[in-house]
Amino acid sequence: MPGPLGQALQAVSRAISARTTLPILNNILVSATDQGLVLTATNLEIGIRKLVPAEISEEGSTTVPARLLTDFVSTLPDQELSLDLDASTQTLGLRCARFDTHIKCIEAEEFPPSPRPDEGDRLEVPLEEMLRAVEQTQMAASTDEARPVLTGVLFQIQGANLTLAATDGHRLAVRKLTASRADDIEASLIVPARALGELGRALKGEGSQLEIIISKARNQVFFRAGSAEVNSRLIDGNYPNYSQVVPTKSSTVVSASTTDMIQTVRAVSLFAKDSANVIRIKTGNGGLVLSATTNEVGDSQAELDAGLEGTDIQIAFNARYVLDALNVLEADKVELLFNGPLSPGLIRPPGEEDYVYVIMPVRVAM
Amino acid sequence: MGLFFDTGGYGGVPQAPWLCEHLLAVASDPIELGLNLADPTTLVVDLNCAFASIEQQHDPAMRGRPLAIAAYATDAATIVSSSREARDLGIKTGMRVFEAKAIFPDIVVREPDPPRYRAVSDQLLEILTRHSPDVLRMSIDEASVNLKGTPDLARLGPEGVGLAVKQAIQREAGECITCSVGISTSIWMAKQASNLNKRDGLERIDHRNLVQVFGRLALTDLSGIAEATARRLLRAGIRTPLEFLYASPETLRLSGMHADVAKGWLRRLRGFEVDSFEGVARKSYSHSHVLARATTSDGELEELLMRLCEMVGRRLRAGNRRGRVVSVSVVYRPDVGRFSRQLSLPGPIDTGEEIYQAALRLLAARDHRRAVGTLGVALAGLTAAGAGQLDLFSGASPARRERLETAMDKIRDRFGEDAVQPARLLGRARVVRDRIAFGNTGHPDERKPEA
Repeated sequence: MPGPLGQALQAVSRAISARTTLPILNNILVSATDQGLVLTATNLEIGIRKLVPAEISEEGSTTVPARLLTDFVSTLPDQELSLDLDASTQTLGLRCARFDTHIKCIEAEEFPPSPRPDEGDRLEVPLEEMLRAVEQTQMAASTDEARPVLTGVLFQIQGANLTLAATDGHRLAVRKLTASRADDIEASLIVPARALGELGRALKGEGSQLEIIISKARNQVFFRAGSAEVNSRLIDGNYPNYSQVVPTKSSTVVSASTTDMIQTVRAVSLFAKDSANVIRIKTGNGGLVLSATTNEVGDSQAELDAGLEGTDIQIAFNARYVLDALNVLEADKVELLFNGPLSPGLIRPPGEEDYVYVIMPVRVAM
Repeated sequence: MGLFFDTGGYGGVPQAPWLCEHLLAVASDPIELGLNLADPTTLVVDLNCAFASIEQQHDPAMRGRPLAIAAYATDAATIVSSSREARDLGIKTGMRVFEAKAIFPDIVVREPDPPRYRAVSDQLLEILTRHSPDVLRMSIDEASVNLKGTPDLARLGPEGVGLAVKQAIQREAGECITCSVGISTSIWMAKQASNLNKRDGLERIDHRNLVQVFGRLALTDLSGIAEATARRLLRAGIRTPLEFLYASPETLRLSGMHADVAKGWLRRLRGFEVDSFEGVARKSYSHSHVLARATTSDGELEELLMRLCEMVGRRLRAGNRRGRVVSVSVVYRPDVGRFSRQLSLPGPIDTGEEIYQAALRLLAARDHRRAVGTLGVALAGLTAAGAGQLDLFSGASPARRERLETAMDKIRDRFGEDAVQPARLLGRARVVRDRIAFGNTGHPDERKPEA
C-alpha cells in the first residue's frame, strides 16, 4: 500500500511552497470518497490532485501536515496501511505492520476550496506527446520574476492545432502538436512554467489522453489525465510576438550527431564556467571546432564531425542554452542553422517542422 | 609518540594537555617551538590615525585638536577615524558622534574626503616601490613590502628601510602624517609588529622576541581574532596568545576551528607566510546610507535606493564586473531592529536600473510601520563582464538600457557624477557620498572614481 500512496503524496506535495504565510497550505487535504482516497495540495497558484485506490469503510476528510505524512509513509514497509480519523480531536491514526501512529490534523473546512472546471473550452491531446512538448519548451522560459509573462509558456490553440512557445529573451523554444479532440476554439494563454513542470510527475501513467480545460472566466487552466489533475492560474499579460524572431533564412547549415555534440559541448564548456559560460563554434575542415577559455582556469578545444553547407562561420553561445536544446531534441541528428555571428541561430531535428529552438549568440571578439 | 607529536611544518610541539605546565617552562626555545628562524624581510607600514592626520595636514587649523572623521556630520553617524588628540581622550573608531561629544563637546567632526585619502595611499605605495617591486596595498592606509633580495635590504637593513619610508612620507605627504612600521618574516606577523606602537613606531618581531611579545598581548590584539573567535578559543581553554601558540591542532578543533584553518593559524603564529592578501578578491559591491532623519516614506526610500543602486552599478561597471545576487539591508530607527533580504537573479546584471528593480521588490517586504534609519544595497555573485549575450527581441545591438548606461557613464566620467541623473532624482541633494570601505579598497580591479 505505501507504494502508490507514497508516490501520490510526493506528487501532490510539489504544490506546497516552502514559504507560505498560510499554515493550512502546508497540509494535504485527504478525503476518503467512494472512488478512493483523494489527495489535494495547493499554493493557491498551482493545485495538484491525485486519487489513490483504497477500500473506504467510512467517508470523511481532514488535512494532514504534508511533510510529516510524506516522510512517514515513505519509510513504511510495503504492507497494508489503514487510516482512521478521530473527527472530534482531528487526529489521524495510521496503522501499518508494526507501526501505530497518530498525526494531529487541521479540519478540512479550513482548506481553501479548489477551483472546479465546471465551464470552459476543452481539448484533448495524447498525454505522452504533451509531456514531451512541455519538456522541450519549459526550460526556455525565464525564471526572472521581473518579467512575469516570460516565466510562462504560451499556449496557442487554433482548432486542433496547439503551439507551445517559451522564451527568456535569449532563447526561444517552439513546439507544435495536434489535439486528438478539440472544441472549435481559438485561444492564447500563458501557463506558468513551474506548473507545467509538475505535469510529468503528477500525470505520468494516468491513461493515454490529457484533457486541457481552459476557464478564462476564472483565469485557470486544468490538466486532467485519468484520475489526476493539475490546475494553475494563468499569467496575465501580452506575450511577445515570438514568430518574428524565428529566422527564416540561413547562410550556414550544419548537421551533426546529437550525442557527439552533447558530449563535446559538455566537455568544452567546463572551461567556460567562469567566463559567462561562453563557447565558440567555428566551421572548417569538414566539421566544427568548439572551444572555450577561462583565463585563470585554462582552455579546451575539440573537433566534431559535421556536415556543412554554405559559408563558414564563427559564432559564440551560452553553452547551457545549447545543451538545453540538445538534451530534449530526441533525434539522432541535429541541424544547426546560422545567418552570421550576430543573428539568432536555429537548432532543430533535421527535416522536422514541429520543433524549433532559437538561440541568440554572444558577442565576443573572435 | 605519534599521538602526541605533530610533525607537520611547524616543528614537533608536544600535544598532550597534561604536559602544558611543563611545556610553558621549556618551550620558549624557538627551535623547539618551530618558529620561523629566517631574518625578517617583510615590512608593514600603517599610517597613524590616517584620515584624521591627512585632514590635519590639509587644514592647519585642525592640528593639535581632537578631530573625528565620521561617515556623516550627524550625531548618529559612526566615527571612522579620529586624531591622536581625540584618541587620547578615549574617542575611538566605531563610536557614534554623540558619544564623542559627550566625552569632548568641542570635538571637530569632519566628513571623509576619500579622494584625498586615496592620493596619500598612492603616495605611500609609490614610496614603498622605491625599495622593492614586491609591494601590496592591504587597505587604504596600510601596505606591505617584501625586501627579500633587494639591494636596500643589504644596504640599509629592514629598520633602515623603515626609517627611510617614514622620512619620505613626512617629506612628501606632509609632516602630520606619521606611520608605524612593523618588521617580521610574514605580512601577518609584520602587521602585529606595526600594531605594537601606534605612534610613529618601528618594531620588529622575530624568533628572538616572539614569545616575549606574545606574552604582553591579549588574544584580541591579534589581527584576525575578534571577540567571537576569542570566545570560541576560550572553549578550547585558550585565553592568551601564548596558549594559542602552544595549542595543538586537536585543541584548536575543540573551538570549532576547521583543521586547515587551525594548521594555518599555528603556522601564522610562528611567523610563516600562510595566505597572501592577494587571494582576497572583491566579493560584492555595496553602498549604504545613514539617513539624517529616519523615515517611513516609500517615496524618500525609493529615491535613496535608486541613488544607491546607481552607485553600485557604476562601480560595478568600472570594475568590469556583473553580479546576480542583490541584497537590501535596513536598520530601523529609533526602533531597534534590522531587516535584510537577498535575491538571486537568473543571470548577471550590471545596470543601476536592473539592480534597482530587484532591490525595490526586496525593500517592499520591510516592516512599513517602522522608520528606516539606514538603507543599504549590495550586489554579490560577481562574474566578469563582457559577456555580450544578445537579446532575441532587440537584435544585434545591445539592450537599450545597457546603451543608456554606457552613455551615462561616459558623461559622468567627463563631467562628474551629478552631470546626468534619472529625472526622479533631479534637484535632490547629493545625499550619498563616495565612501571608503574597510579592507581591500585598493583592489586593482577598480578604477579610482577621480581618475
